[in-house]
Amino acid sequence: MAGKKNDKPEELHPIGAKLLWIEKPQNITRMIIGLGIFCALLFLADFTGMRYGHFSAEGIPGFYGVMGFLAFSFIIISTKYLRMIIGRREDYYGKSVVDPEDYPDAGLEKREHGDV
Amino acid sequence: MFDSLPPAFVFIVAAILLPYLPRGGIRAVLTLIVPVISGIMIWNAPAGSHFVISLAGMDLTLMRVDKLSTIFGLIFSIAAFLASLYAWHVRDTVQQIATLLYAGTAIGAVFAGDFITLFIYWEGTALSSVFLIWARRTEGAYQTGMRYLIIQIGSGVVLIAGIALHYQASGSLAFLALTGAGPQSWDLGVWLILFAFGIKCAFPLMHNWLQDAYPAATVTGTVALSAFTTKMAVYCLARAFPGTEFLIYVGAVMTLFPIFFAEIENDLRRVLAYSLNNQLGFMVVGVGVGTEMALNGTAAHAFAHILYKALLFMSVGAVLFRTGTSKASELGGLYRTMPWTMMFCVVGAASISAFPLFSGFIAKSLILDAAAEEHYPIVWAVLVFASAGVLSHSGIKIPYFAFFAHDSGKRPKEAPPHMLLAMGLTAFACIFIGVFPSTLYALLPYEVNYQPYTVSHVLAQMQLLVFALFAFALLMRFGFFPDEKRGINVDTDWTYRKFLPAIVVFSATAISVVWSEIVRGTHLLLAAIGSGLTRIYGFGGQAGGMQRTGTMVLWLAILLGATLFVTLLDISG
Repeated sequence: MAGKKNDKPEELHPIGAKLLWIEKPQNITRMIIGLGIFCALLFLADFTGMRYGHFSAEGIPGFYGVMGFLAFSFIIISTKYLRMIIGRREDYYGKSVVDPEDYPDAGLEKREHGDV
Repeated sequence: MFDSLPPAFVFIVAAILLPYLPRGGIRAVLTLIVPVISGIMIWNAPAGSHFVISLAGMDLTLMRVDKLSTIFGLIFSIAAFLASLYAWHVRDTVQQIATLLYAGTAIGAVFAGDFITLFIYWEGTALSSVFLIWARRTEGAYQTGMRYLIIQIGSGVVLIAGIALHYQASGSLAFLALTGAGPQSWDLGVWLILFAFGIKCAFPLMHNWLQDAYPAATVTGTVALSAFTTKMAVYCLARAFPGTEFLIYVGAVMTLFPIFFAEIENDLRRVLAYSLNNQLGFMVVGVGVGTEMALNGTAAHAFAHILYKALLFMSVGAVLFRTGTSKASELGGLYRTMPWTMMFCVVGAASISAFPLFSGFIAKSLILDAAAEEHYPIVWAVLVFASAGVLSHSGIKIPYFAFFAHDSGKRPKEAPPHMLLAMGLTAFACIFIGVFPSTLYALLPYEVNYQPYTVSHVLAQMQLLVFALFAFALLMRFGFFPDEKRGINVDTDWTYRKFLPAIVVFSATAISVVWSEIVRGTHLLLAAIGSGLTRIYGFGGQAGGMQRTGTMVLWLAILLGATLFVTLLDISG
């Protein structure tokens, strides 16, 4: 959240500091509403007759919109259940995988913002 | 001579020279210069077959130049340059040599004009690339590398078996289309060659080496890995199996199932590996459709995909480089201190999601429209669904969970300048291709008669993506979006890492139990027989004691009587 205690200005990149507005709840609501309006405009544009396609279904106004919305929702909701079936602990395969281990520091250059 | 010299040689010579150069910047410069030389050589190489050498009675064509091999050779050179620039800081000789050899062998395979040359480079990519995984130098990476190597070398073994059988059947080693009169007419050799290509192309059920190995490689190694092996396999499919109809369905399945795995995966580099698998599916569909437009689509998509996939791996790699983790559950809010990396990541995400004005849009459209033109409505619908899926895992999940979402409290420093430069150049290429598609279309194997930027097309794509984004916003707002939490998900590798070992352990236990019971039973039986014999014949037994002479005489008389009786019976008979 913008202005949260842990957001000290000296800790931020100048560009990052300018972007903090996107975390404000009222701005998130605005963005969602804006997206909704954009969707509505794209849907209305289908009635101008500028869109055509190979298949008859493509001609239905809002075909792609409905497809996108439903496909996305289906993927997100179904994967909740998929995880219940195939989800395992990180050490399920023991030491034979990299998941439970830390990336060796020798290959990294960990720096905090503000470090020289 | 120079203009038809195989560019693979330049990489191999550089890899041999590299350890003799002083450590430091000079070696890094060499890894940058070599891909540039290679790119210039490929650009200037005259069409036709060059560098034909005779080996054990076989003519090997090391440099077959046409538009299909040129576009793959060029993008491989570009990818090698970008991966080396991204790895400018790396002073690990093993990784530098491995990257050079890996890129070189992949380019060598692309220009191979016969199957023997292809096989040699095919195995070369396996042997060189595994060092990019081992270079992480942990127990997990070592074991993952071994699994990767077994599968990669295995694909080469299948390939050489197929080549041998195909040579026996057809008498030809030329690396040309093997489609013949369709799959019914194929001999076993052709099927094995397809199978070998399928392993490296991560066909469904043969895919898991990819998601297993790529996240285990080093920060920079994964960028190189993402470019070569799988696209080399796509090239081989496009060369040898264009228009093989069942590949359309194989590809369609490939575009679908990784979406679901990617969505619940916590390691963002593994999310990208699943996403890579999904993108390969689009290319395989293009090969299966096999029209000029579809094959153009496959080549264009491979070109665009290598760039934006490398860009995404670079941005997540930069996060890993600075924070030590690429797990979504540990990240978030990094836009505060890594805004440039975030912006480049968003460009990659927009490109892979195929937003208009980004590279994915002008490449993927070719494949979708080719499938529609050849009247595959179900496949086309699957690809549209998969396009929404791409947005969900690569377009939203990667940038959102790394750079936004909940604040992880991590305040890493921005990525180092050379990484930003590599990402910036790649991001520029993604946008440039998206805005000026004709530059990429000019490189495609066939003449392009296609206009991606029609009002209808842009409107359709925007509708698909913006409505999907809206769904994301609503699901997030109302708490339906699954949380990122630590853990892994089992995939087909479960069969050979848990199920088969369990079967082996069970069988071994069962056999040893049965065997020990048989041995024990035999011992008991022998003991019983022994004691029975002892009872009868032993000291003091029935047969072992002293008998009276009269008893013997009596038994002798009975025996003689019985003999007489039988003899009489015989006479009467």
